Amino acid sequence: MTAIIEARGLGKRYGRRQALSDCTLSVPAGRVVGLVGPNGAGKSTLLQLACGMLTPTSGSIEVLGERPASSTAQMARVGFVAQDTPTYAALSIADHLRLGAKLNPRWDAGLAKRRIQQLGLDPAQRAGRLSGGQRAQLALTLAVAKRPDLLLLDEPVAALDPLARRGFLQSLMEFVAEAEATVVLSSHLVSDLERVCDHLVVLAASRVQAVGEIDDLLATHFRLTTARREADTLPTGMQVIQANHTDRQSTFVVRADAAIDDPSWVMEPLALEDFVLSYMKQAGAAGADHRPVLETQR
Amino acid sequence: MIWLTWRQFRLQFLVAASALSAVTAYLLISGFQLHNAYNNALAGCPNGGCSPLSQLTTQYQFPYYLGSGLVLLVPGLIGAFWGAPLIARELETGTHRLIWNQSISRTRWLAVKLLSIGLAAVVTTGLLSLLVSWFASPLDRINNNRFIPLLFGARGVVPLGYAAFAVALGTCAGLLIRRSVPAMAATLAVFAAVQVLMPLAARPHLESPVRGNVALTSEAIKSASLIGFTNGTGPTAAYVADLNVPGAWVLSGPEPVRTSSGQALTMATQPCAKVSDEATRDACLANADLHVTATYQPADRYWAFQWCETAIFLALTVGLTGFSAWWLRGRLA
Repeated sequence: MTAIIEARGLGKRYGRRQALSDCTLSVPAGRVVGLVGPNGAGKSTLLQLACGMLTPTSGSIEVLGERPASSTAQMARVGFVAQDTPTYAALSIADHLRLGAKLNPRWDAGLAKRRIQQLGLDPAQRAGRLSGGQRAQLALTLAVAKRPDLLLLDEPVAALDPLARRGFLQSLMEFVAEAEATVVLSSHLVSDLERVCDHLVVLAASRVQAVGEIDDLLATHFRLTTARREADTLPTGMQVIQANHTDRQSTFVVRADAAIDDPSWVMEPLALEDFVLSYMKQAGAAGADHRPVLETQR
Repeated sequence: MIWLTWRQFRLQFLVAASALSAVTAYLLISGFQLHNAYNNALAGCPNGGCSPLSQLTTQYQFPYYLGSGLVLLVPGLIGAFWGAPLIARELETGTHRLIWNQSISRTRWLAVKLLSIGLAAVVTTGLLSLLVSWFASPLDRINNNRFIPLLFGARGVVPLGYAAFAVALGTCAGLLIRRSVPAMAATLAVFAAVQVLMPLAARPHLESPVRGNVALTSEAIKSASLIGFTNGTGPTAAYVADLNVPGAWVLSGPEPVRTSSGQALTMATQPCAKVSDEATRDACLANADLHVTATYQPADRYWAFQWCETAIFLALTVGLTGFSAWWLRGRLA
């Protein structure tokens, strides 16, 4: 199956601020993709480019084989839950469902109704009186009942308390299991994504830092602890992502095809959170003093 | 989409409708009274010009000014309260990110909204203008001054053009400013500026005005804005008059009063200077075959001007709408 999202050299500039630069990535079908990065890394920009809310200033992006929002048929196949999950405060839940039914050709009224029932929401209630979690669920229902082939979610759980967050992610997983759609979900918290995603895009300093299946990424990244030594004394074939030195000891995060046994060091697998953090730190260091890649971090 | 537009708009519409229905009832009631009184007065004095007729203008002054004022105000208010929040409210609350991700293009979304609200605005203003024109028709016939700037915009078809323009202006302001309240203020300010500039700078030049002699008859003397002397107080002071031409729009100010041979009069040469009683003097002046040369737009151009100005405002509406659609499609983040 071909890629659902295909970006080539994609960039977006707001005035003098480059929000996203030279982003090349390909999202395969049927995945749940986590888009992770610090605030301001360009996650929202990338998602809004993918759903056609924004147009790129450089490069190109194709979603489901077409330019985003190029036709209503294409729009019908992409669901988008925007940041802070906006809904019409004055409109009731039933009004929102009616809106969805009238504006989307593939609308699944049964699914929408069932979801609202399962959530225990009163259809006559105004969206303005819902809690943050309920509002997010309503926004998700609207996006899901479109029956999209691609569902984009921009920090949907950022404003939710842990319980609502869990409920929301659970609803999302139910949809994924049932619909076989591709989902791209952004967050600045790895723990949110770890539970639901199988594919990861790390975005930092407006650039893509790492991309791939989570299992593959974790199988090729290691923490290497050794007596103090410089990064360039490590064997070739090991790419250093991050290095930390104390007086007697050095700790590296390295990329390698497989763990290499050597009595002089300990090489152990990374947790996903550490993996993401090391790429973010690398991007931070590179961005801070414009050096191409890392050096020491003390 | 039409359903959604109505669902979002109905509160604003009902507020406006209930406010206007109160005014409508009032204008209808006093309108019937006025029309009755006018017909009775006409029957009582078939040649017109008698006192009951002129009394009507003072008697019905309040509904007359209220109605005319409303027709001038309502388009601006509609632009501010219906037009400005149309997009600004969505941008403010972030709901544009919800609605633009349904399976509908932004252009179509804007088209349905603008057409619905624009139509509502034009119909509302049109009905109000029709009602006020009907109510004021006896007084307009007595005063014969519908061409003057304050009344021109409050009668006929131009209010429809104003209403369409105001909605497009409000929408555009909301789109550019992205906040409802500042957009409403900007809409009101720009609309008011256009309403002031139009009669001052543009309307007089829609067609080149006529320069012609206006006789100083007793009617002209009675309705004159000014008759008097200027340039000093001595015998050389010029005798000038600012006359109204029935049904026309006089653009010039005070002009020298001339004799039939074209000689401008002064205090010394004014023929009726010796008469001290005002009524006798006016009669004396009316018989002296005097005139002024005035610049004016003649009464028979009234409807041509109405349609022309309406067309100008509709063209502005189309321009603003096109700009909004273009901005919405490409420029908006």
